[in-house]
Amino acid sequence: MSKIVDQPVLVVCENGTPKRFFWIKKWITVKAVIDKWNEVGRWWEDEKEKTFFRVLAGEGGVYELYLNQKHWNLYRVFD
Amino acid sequence: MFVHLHVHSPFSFLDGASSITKLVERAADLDMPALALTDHNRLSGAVRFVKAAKQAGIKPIVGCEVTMEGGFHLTLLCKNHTGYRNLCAVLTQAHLGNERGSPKVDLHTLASHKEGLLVLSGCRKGLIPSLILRKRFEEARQTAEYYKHIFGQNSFIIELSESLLPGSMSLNKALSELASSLGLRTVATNNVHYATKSDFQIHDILTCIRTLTKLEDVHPERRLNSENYLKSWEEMKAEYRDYPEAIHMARILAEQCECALDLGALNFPAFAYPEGFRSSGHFLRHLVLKGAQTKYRKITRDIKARLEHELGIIEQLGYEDYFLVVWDLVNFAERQNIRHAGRGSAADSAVAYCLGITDVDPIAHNLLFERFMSLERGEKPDIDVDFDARRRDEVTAYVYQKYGDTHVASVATYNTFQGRSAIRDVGKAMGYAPDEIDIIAKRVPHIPACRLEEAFKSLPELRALDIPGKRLQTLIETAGKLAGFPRFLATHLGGVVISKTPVTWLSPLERSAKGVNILQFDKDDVEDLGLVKIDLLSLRTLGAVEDSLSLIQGAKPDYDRIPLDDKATFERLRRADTVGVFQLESPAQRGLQARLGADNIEDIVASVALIRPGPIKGNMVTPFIKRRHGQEDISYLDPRLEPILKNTYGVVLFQEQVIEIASVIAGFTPGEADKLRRVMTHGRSFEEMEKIGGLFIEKAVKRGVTEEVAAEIFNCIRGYASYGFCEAHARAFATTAYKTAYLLEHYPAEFYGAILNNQPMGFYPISTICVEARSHGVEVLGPSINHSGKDVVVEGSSIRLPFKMIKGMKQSAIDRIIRERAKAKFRSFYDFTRRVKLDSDILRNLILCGCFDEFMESRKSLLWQLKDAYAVGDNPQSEMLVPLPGAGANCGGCGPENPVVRDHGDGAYGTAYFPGQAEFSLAEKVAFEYQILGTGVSAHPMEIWRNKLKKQGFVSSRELPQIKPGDFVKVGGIPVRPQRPPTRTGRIVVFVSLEDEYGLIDVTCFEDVYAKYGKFLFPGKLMPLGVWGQVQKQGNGFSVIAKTVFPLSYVL
Repeated sequence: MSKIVDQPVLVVCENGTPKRFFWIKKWITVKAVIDKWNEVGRWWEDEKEKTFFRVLAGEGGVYELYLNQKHWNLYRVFD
Repeated sequence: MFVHLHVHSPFSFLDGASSITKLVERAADLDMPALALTDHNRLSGAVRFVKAAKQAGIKPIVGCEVTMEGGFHLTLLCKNHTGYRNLCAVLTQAHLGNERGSPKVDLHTLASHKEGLLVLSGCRKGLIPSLILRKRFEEARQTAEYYKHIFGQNSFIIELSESLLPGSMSLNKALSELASSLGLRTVATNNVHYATKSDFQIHDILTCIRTLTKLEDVHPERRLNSENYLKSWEEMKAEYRDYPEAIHMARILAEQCECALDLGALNFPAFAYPEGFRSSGHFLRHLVLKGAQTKYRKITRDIKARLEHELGIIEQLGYEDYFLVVWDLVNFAERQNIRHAGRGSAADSAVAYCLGITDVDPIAHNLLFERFMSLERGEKPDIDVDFDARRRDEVTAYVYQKYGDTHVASVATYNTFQGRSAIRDVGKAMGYAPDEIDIIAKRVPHIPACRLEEAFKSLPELRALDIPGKRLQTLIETAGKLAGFPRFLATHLGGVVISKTPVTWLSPLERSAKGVNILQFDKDDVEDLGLVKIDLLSLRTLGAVEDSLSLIQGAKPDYDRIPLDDKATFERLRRADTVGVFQLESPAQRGLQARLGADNIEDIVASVALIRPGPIKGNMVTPFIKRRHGQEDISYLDPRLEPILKNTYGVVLFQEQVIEIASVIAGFTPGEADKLRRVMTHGRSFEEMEKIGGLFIEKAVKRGVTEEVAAEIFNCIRGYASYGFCEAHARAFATTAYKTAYLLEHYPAEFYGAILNNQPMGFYPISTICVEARSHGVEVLGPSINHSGKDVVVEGSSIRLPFKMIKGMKQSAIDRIIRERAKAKFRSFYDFTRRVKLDSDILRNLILCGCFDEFMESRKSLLWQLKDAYAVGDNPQSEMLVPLPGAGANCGGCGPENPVVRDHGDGAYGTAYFPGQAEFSLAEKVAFEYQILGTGVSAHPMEIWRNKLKKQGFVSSRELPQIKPGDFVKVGGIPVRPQRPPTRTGRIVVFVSLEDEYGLIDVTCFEDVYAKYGKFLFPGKLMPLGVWGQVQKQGNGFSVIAKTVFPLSYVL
């Protein structure tokens, strides 16, 4: 099960890859990037391409983050 | 260094968004030493790809992404010629062994043709990746092991094809582990579908078109991102940083492949000449001399020299067999009484004339053989022969039967996106409503998609569209980017190739919609492959000629010996009364005929060549006419031009004249002269024209011509640039034009009938042909259930419209009607429905176009009875009560006021009469007739409106010649084929004919009028128009120069 969040978050990266992000008043460390992909969205409405990262957190949870231009969002949280 | 080994071009048909040129240029810009092309299940792009790659200095690797049984993909690359031949065989089996449009490769066929091929495991749609994605790892391993066993460890490679899709990371990891566990190699590809990232949008639109979805819709075929572009080595290295060996392997595999396609080597079969001859050349010579004796009777020294000259060139270039094959086809047509006529530059050849391939004597008309063939050019000759359209397939069948299915195939043609089709398809994908697209598309002229932006800026009917700017702009820009992309593969109109080796060594075969085997290459590509194309064209005019002759009762004219000096025929031409005449019927041609005053066949030859963009833009028409009438002096810039241009009054009209001028004035070699012709006729670049012009002047000056005169002569021939005819072709067409005019003059009913039989043909719609027939005293009778045939029937001086003109009518239905009628004529509508079962739509159409009028029942009444008539028709043996209109569930039930007819099963209903069932109004009847027949039978729409229009001062086409030139008139009619031909000044002029009940009124709209009223002239739907303008008389012709154009509904 997962929950769509789609909220802006602070992300710290290394070589373009998220290393930790700030969510619900705490920093969550990224233990591993499980998957990474790009999505174009509604280009005909000038939507820009996003890069998604599915990450495994140090504490054990799985999260989906995306980079839209220069802004990061937490898109989804998996149970 | 990296090489892309999985690349799709537009020849993946709606799954490749960058041209081959762009892909190759991009690869070259990225310093890639090679590039592969792997379109879906076809090699159609291979020839262009090989040529483009060689030109760019990179190695072309020919391949294909095939669909296996079960729908899984595999990527195949040809290592060498054997691999290419095997790939052709595999694809041929995939196409011919499966339903058309769903090719499937079976693994056993691939296994038995594996030599010379590298097999890559494919993209996500490959069997192994898709099993891994479904977490069926053991099955994936077994499959990989099996493929390794079939194709060998060195030839089967695991493909890592994409890196930025959900699941790619784990997929690539699993594939890599699988490869290493089986000792297989991995290779990185990017499943390229376009050259640059920005081309993704075009690809997405193409995918929507392919999957019939809109941009708003979700579809699994649409790519999630724009990563499938031709990435650089650096980008690929970064994305596959965990698999450096897969990146390296791309280069290694590319080095193992050589260019598998040989271009240029001639592949034409030897003609099986009869015993007693030493060679095909010997047999050809024999036939030519025999033909010459028949054609010329006395073979003079000049004739012999000409024939020897031509035979010498044909022999030196090795085309004796080609001439013999064409001779054999024409000979077959002759034996089978299939009407035929050679066309094109082949009419420059006396050998072709003596062989009976062409009808024009090039020696008598001083036509240049070098226009057709020359040693210097060494090009393949191109002989085009027209056959009666309905019997052309018999000739094609003969070719297949004579040379065998494995050595003959039809040439393909790539149906490409043009302005209209691009607007329609992109509009649909963008979510435009069907009506909206229809209105836009119908207003778009026939232009390439790349000229859409310009058209939407300049044409008033497009500027007037009420669509939000940004949305329209996106539509236009996107549609423009599809310019020239192939939409689908179709069969070339008449091109077949006959090859020495099996055709499948050079091209895969697939089945066309008509069921014939076609190559995967078009006419240009097959020539590059060394195949020689023979054009077996179908010309409906020849069918119309044949039909006219068969419709003539009593003594028939000998078509081949129709006198070429018939006064009445030339008088008709001078009256510009030429609707229906081959090549001379367009408004521009009729305008020319009215002014030219043709009185011999040479005038017709000139006419055919004059109404072409070249002479029109070069302003040659008026000088030609004036000189023809002695109203303007004929002068020559150099006395040596006189013998060349004398017959055309000093005007450069034919390609042969250009060649001769170049050789006489500038001493051009035949090759140089032909290059000049090509630069001019193919509208090449300004630079090319300047370059060859410079050479012309330089060489002319060396031969004693002053620089000024040389420049002026070159200007004269430059004015002719683009789209000129060769004289040989014009002569071939002029002969047919004259003969059809002769048939029209002397056998009008038969000729009009024949034109209707062979629709669609010619310039005008059915309605115009019917109006013309009526105005020439030929009554056009509506279809009749007891009198019509499949084709037009001539009844005295009348013609009866045939069943086949009725919308929805099938051959089987026509056969049933005629078969049943042969037993006994139909006595009533009910008698008909009892004896012939037809589906209700066809029966409805038969009623509404008046097929049952002879039974004296109103059409409305019959329509009312249609459902009940069916009850009888379905149960012919039973006695039953048939409710009359006004009866039954719909009308309140039976009773004394609602009588019924008792059927005794013998069809004796008599003529039923239904009081109170009024007939349709005349306007309604005519509207139905137009819908069903394409023409009015009961009346012409203008006839219905005439009284009203007359009261408002409108004049008809019959009255127009009585109006004083210069006076202003109001005219009206149904617009026929509005056109915007090229003009000398480049300004837009629209020519449109208004059809009324008596004939045509030619209307000219100059740019200012067009700018205001273009939306009415090109409304995107049928709209009767009124025009207010000034009468103009030119020669014997009248026309109206429009000042105002308006929908006729404004005044009705």
